[in-house]
Amino acid sequence: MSQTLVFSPSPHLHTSRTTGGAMRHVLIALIPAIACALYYFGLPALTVLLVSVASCVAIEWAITRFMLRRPSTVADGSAVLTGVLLALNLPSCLPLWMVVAGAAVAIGIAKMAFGGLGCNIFNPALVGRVFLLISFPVAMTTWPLPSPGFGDADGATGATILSISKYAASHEANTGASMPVLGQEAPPAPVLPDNTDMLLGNMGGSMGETGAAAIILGFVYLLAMRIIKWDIPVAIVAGMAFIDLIAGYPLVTDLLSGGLLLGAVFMATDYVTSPMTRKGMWVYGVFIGIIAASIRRWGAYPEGVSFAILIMNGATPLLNRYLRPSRFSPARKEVRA
Amino acid sequence: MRHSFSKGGIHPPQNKTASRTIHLQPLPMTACVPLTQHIGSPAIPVVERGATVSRGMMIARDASFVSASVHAPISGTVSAIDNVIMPNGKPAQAIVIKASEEQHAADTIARERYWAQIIPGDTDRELSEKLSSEEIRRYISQAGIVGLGGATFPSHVKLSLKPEQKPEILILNGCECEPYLMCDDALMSTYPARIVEGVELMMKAGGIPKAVIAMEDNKPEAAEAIRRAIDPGQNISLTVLRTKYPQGGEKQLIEAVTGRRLASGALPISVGAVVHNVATAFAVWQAVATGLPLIERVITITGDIPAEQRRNYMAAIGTPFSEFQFTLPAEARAIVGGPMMGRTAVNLDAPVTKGTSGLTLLAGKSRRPVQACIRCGACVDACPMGLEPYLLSAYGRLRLFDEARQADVADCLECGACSWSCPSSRPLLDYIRIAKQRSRK
Repeated sequence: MSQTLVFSPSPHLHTSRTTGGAMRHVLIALIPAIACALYYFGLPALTVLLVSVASCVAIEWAITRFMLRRPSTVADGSAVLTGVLLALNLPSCLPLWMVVAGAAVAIGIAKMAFGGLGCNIFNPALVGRVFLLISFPVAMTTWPLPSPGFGDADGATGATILSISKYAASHEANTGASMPVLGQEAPPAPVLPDNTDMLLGNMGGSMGETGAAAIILGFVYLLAMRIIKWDIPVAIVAGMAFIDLIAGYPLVTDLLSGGLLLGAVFMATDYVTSPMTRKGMWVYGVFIGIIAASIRRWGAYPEGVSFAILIMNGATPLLNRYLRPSRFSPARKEVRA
Repeated sequence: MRHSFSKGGIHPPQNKTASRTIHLQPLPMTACVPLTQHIGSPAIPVVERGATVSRGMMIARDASFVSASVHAPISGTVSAIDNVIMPNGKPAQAIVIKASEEQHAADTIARERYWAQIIPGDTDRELSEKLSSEEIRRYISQAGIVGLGGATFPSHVKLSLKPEQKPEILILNGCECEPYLMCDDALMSTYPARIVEGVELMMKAGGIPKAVIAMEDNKPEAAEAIRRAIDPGQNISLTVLRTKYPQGGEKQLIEAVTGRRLASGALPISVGAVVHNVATAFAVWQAVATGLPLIERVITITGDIPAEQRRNYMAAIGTPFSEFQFTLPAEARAIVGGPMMGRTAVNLDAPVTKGTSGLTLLAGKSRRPVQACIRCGACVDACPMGLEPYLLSAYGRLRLFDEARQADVADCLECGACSWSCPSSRPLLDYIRIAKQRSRK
């Protein structure tokens, strides 16, 4: 027995799953949504996507290389994922320098300043998006109208369903439905797309959020690959249904419009910023649904999913602390006095 | 659908590819028999250096109630009673027996004859009726029988039950939930009737009204063999559980079979259960019916070695691991036991002991580079005790031992499900072990 033996503590086997692998699966799950974005919003969408991914990766690489002087973590795929998610949360006609600024905030401030992957409290892509939304509200809410067929958008812009319904509601409240507005011609009533268009993404909005069917396809893939659990997205829908019931708003429209599905499936389920236990996931999800729907119904913004997720990201450490997994063993008996 | 224990658990690849046939491993010319092969006080030698011993003779007696006697696995001369190096590289007191050619040949013939007659041997169902429970316990204690699943707790102690303890069910652990290992599978497939008889003896010894032989659904041959061996008139039943690691953990198995959960630090009898390994039942039968003390056991030699070398052996206690036939893979981890909870050996000249269930030889390094925790919760989902491995591990790393205690680190089984499941390859269990040891009061 002259051969060297390796000494190591147990266990000696290891799952074949890796962090990079999980990121890759999420990227694969995003392919339908990306395809949908490219189909409806064309070349500008592709440009935004590429710029977003490239800047996220470059910024993370630069920070690890020149500031932290650590080995680069770009290979784990999380920066690519942040880039894709950020892009899908932006309108495809956003000026590219804004995309770069959003990426810089997402990676530089929301992720690397907290210590990199696993240490961030808030979802980086959402921090990037909200930073842009607050800083450049006009550019961030100017939605190109979809022009199906991968073609170049014709430059026409329009409102999202949520802003249409909010506008309609406030218009009605302010003016009374039947009163004509003096001194100006009443604008043509914006038409809500029907449910089929909303399901297929044929409507205005951020490039990745419009195709509900594509996002659900991704959700099914993530469930099948056991990358995420169903709890958080379902809890979000449950929370939203609760508010819609009170407010008397159609839940289906709420689900299919805006960033809800993209947020529920891909943003709220981010491992790092969501709770670890099932109990925690449910509280987290239900509150995201409630907050998002409340902002949509009664808040100043037409859309509230990003804010809702970020607020609950902040509550996640608390949820992890108080909603512990139930122990296998019943309460400890004080055997030794 | 078949059920298993309720909380956590993982599904590592089984790799149970060894042949189910039990091969007789030749007796060694020199056998090192450690005095501590069990939990409890070390056995006290009753032979001196230079003494001649015969196979099966007691060479060290149990030092107290919680102890186990040790017998000569081969005939020969006691050449030393001294420290020998165990697989982990640490010294331990052992009796070293050297056989002459004649003694070796005589032992070999006697042993072959013994095993040849056991396979077709007649069933003696009345055995347990003829003997009193005290007599059976004395047989078990005198044969030096300990838990053969790896815990090596003296078996007679677990069967010394008072009626007021209300033993309700004897659970025979045939789960063998460790990947690779097949020694219990081989034993159940080969000697099912003997195991069932051993179970009857144990029920009688402990005054336990019924017994369940539990195994996982990855052993259909063994399940079928045991099912056929059980007589309908017996209060013994077979439970086949859905395969999930660590089903063989005592607490997990009791829950899977009875639905009852053991409190932290409580003994199985607190919920009316007594758990023994199926191999222990076989050893009990051997001791009572054939008079053979625990000097041999089945071990699996397996891992990243040629298929024909992956085998189950009936091996004498004290046989050096190096005498088994295997080609050591490159950068080998030689694991005594299974790959989830077994320990790597640094000395393969060390002997097989009562608690050795196998030798798993794995090629290449086990650890991938450690990455950042992404708080995915896989370890929380995997933990069969409902603990938070990521947190306990951090407490261990940061030396926050009081916090670890409050987070129930003492409940940890060290099953390794957390480390196995971590996609960032974090050494969770390594730090949890530190936290567990240092937080103990």
